[in-house]
Formats: sequence, C-alpha cells, structure tokens
Amino acid sequence: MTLINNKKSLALLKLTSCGSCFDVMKDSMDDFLKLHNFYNIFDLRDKNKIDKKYDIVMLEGHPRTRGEIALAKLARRNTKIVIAIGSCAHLGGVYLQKNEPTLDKTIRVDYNLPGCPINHRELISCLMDIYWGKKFRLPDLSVCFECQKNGNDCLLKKGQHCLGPITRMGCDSICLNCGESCLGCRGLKPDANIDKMQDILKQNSSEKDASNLTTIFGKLIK
Amino acid sequence: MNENLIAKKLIGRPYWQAPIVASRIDARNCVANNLAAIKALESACGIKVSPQTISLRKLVLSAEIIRNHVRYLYHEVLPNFLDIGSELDLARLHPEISQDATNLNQFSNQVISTVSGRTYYPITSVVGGFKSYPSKAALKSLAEDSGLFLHSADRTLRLFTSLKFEPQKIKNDFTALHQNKEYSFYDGDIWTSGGEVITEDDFVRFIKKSAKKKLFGPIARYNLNRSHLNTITLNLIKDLDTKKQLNNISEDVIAKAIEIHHCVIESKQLINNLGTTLTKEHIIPPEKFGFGISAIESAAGTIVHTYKLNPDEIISNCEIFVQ
Repeated sequence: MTLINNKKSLALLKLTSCGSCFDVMKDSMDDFLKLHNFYNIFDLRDKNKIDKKYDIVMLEGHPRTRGEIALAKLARRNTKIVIAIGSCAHLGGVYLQKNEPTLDKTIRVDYNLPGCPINHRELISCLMDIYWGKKFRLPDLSVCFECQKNGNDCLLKKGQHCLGPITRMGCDSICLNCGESCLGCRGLKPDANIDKMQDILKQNSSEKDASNLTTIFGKLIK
Repeated sequence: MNENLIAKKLIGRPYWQAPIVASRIDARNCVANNLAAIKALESACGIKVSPQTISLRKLVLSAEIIRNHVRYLYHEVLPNFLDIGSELDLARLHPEISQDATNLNQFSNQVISTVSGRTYYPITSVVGGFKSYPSKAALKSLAEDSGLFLHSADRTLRLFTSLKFEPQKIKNDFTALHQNKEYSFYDGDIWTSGGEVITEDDFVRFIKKSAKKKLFGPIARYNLNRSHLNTITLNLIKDLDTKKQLNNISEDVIAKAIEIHHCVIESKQLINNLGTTLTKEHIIPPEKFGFGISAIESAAGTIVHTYKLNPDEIISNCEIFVQ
C-alpha cells in the first residue's frame, strides 16, 4: 500500500542526548519501511538545522545550550506538532545536569513518547494516530500492572528498590522481566503517589540511594 | 559525544548505576560502554567473574560490532558509493544486497536481546555477572539460524573488498587493544604500530597525552591483530587477496567487513559452546571499594573508563574516554 499523495512531512532533530531513539525504529525494518508510506521523513540530526515548515517535528534530547534552546524554539515555530521522543526529551534524561531546563519548560510539547529507549510500537501508534487525525494517548496505569501480568516477583516486597508503582506502563516491564528494578525512565503515571513511594524506598534502601533513584533519567519528580 | 556530562552525572551516585548510565553515552556503542563501566567497577570492587560471564559478554560485544559495521557499510557507504539516496533506495533497487544487511542486523539484534534483555541499553549485564540468563532454547535457535547469517557475512566481505575507493594515506600510528590469545575486543593491553605497549596503569596517561595523534578503530585493530583472526576469515581474506596491512582511510570498509565476518564466526562458536554449558550463576558481590580502570574495543575504537569508589559504595571520581 502506498499513499504517496497524502504523505505528511516529519522532521527529526537532536538536542543533548545519545540521539538514537528514532534509530530503535530500525530494529524493525518492516515497520520502518511501512512508516515511509505515510510520512516523508527528513532526518536533520546531522546538520541540526530547520529551514522550512514540517507537519511534525520530533525532538530527541533536552536543550542545554543557547543554540539548542534556539533550535527547539525554531522547531516549534516551524511545525504544527512537536513530539518529544525518549526520556531525554521528556524528563531531561541521563545528561540532565542540575538547573538545566527540560524541553517542556522551553517550548510547548504536543506529545511525549517516554522511555529510554522508546518503545518503537508506541512511536508507530502515535504517528499513525496523528496521521489519521486521532488524539494519541499513553496508557495511564503503572508498570506494576505489566510486571504482575508477566509473572515477576515484586522487588519491593523482597526489600529492593523499584519505581514501578509510580512509573507509567508501556514498556512491558522489560527491565523487571530481566531481574532489574524499574528506574522510572517512562516518567510518572497520572496521580502517582510519590510520598508513599518515597516512604517505601526509604524503608528498602539508604536515603541517598532512594533520592538518587528518581534522577537517573532526569527529573522524574518535577 | 557527551561522555564528560555522563562522568559528571555519575559522581555522587552508587556504583551500580554507572553501567546503566554509561551505556547511554552513545546508543550505537551502548554495549561497549556498559561493559567498560562494568569491567572498571569490577576491578574497583575486587570482583573476578567466571569464564561463562566473560563468554556472554564477548558474545554481546561481538554482536554490537556487527550491528555497527553493518549499519555503516549498508546504510552509509553503499548508498553513497552507488549514488542513491539511502538504505531504503538500496532495499528497493538491490533487494538481494539489502537482504544481507537485514540478515546481519537481525542476527546482531537477536544476540543482543537474547543475552542483554533488549537490543539497546543492556539490562541483564551488571557488576559481578548477569541478572538473568538466556534460555538454552533461545541459544539453540540462534545457533540454528547462524548458518544463514554466515552466508551474509561471507557475501558482505566479498562485496566490500571488491569496491574501489580513492586512496587516502593514513599517517597516524595505529592503536588498539591487543593480547596474545585472540583478536581483542574485550580485553588486553593497548598496542600501537609504533611499538608502544601500554598496560592498564598507563591507559589514562596515554589516552590523555596521545589519543588525538593515533588512529583507533577497525583498521588499527586489523593491522595489529590480523594473525588472531579466526582461520575461516583468515583463509577467505587470503583468497580475496586482501592486504596484510591496511594503510588507507578508505580501506576502513574492508576492515569493517572483515570484522563482521570474524565476529559472526566467533559468535557462532560462543553460542554453540554456551548452548551446551550455560548454567545460572550468582552475581558476585564486591570485596572492597577502591579504584578501577578498564579498556574495551567499541566499533569505533578503544574506550577507557575509570571509577574511584568511596567506602560507602559511592562514585567519588569518574573519567570516560571514547572514540
């Protein structure tokens, strides 16, 4: 199926990040190729300049320099829809240093695709929903739901740390399935009970360990 | 690359976070940075891991080297050489060639996700071992498929050794990890073609002082480690009349194609061995908290990580050097 005449334009830009969230798409070449039936994709990450208008701009990373802040603002002016992809764009990511702004404090972001790395199926869903004029919604429940569904033992009950109860689901609890705790890369779920989470973490780990946990992927708690 | 930001971020954090955060320096070399951090921290913690753990790490590192080289050769070099737009045009115009790239990509991604939990940013590999292990069935399935991937590696090597590029002489010394037993990716001293041998104690001094004047990466590795390529690869490159020393920057594509072939064969052997012997091992706990350093080969060249830990398991200093 080819919808050449109805293709939308999609530009990719990179701010401070590893700059590869979109490349996760290439893990599934079939999906990546199909995406080209709906979108003309302009990968501007190498030159990192935006010189015309696009239907959608995807931004990876958070703006930490004046140049990057200017680029983010220019991108906003040149598109109808800004999608922040990955935890660097969503929460600041592993590169976020103290007192640096996150992307949503710099420009208005229409959609966040969370995770480090992103879930490529979520990216496809988002782009397809936008293409067909629908509002894309992330799941509202916590990672605990996926973790329990996958039959994992609860790490908190074992006295270990885990941010699953406050983190938005959508990753299929991939870290927990491998025995690693959830470190909150997908950001907070709506109405997350942070106080309760912090109480549990303090019981299970040292205070320093507990406070460090919520800043691995940027500002989980804003 | 933002390795200095990552090093800064890690100071004041518990040591176990370092491999998770360091792997995000560069998605393409996430396995290499993850393992470099783990090796350095194991040295800081006085941990000696089992041969099985080392085999699993070598397997996943080889897979990442394959993935990086394949993407470079098929997504950048070949479309450029053929003067077509991108890998998508390559897939459309030359599907039989593009299929080899797809096969090799699939192989590397399967290996990385089977061993590390997912294709980018390893989950299972931690200081002291692995949090979870692949099933023997998953390894068996990989072993069964690897014949197909070997054909693709073979065709890739034949294709890229046949391409002619404008020569551009390399003037720098070649620099890479080297050890006597094998083509080094995971371990070894740093060797240069000028005859320098740098041991662990001098890694940082050498990298700070000399790295900019040296050439790292596939050509350097090939020139310094050629005799340790596996026999099948070695015989094939002899048949293809490949030079024993590569001296032109354009021959980087040949070195990459050779490494793909070598890594596929090495991976196949590791998968076969692990498939019969794999057992679940406990993660080895730290015995001390001090200073640790490591060097590892990423697709782009040698990377060095150093960590200094406080007695309370917190990182007090960190330096990371990447290519």
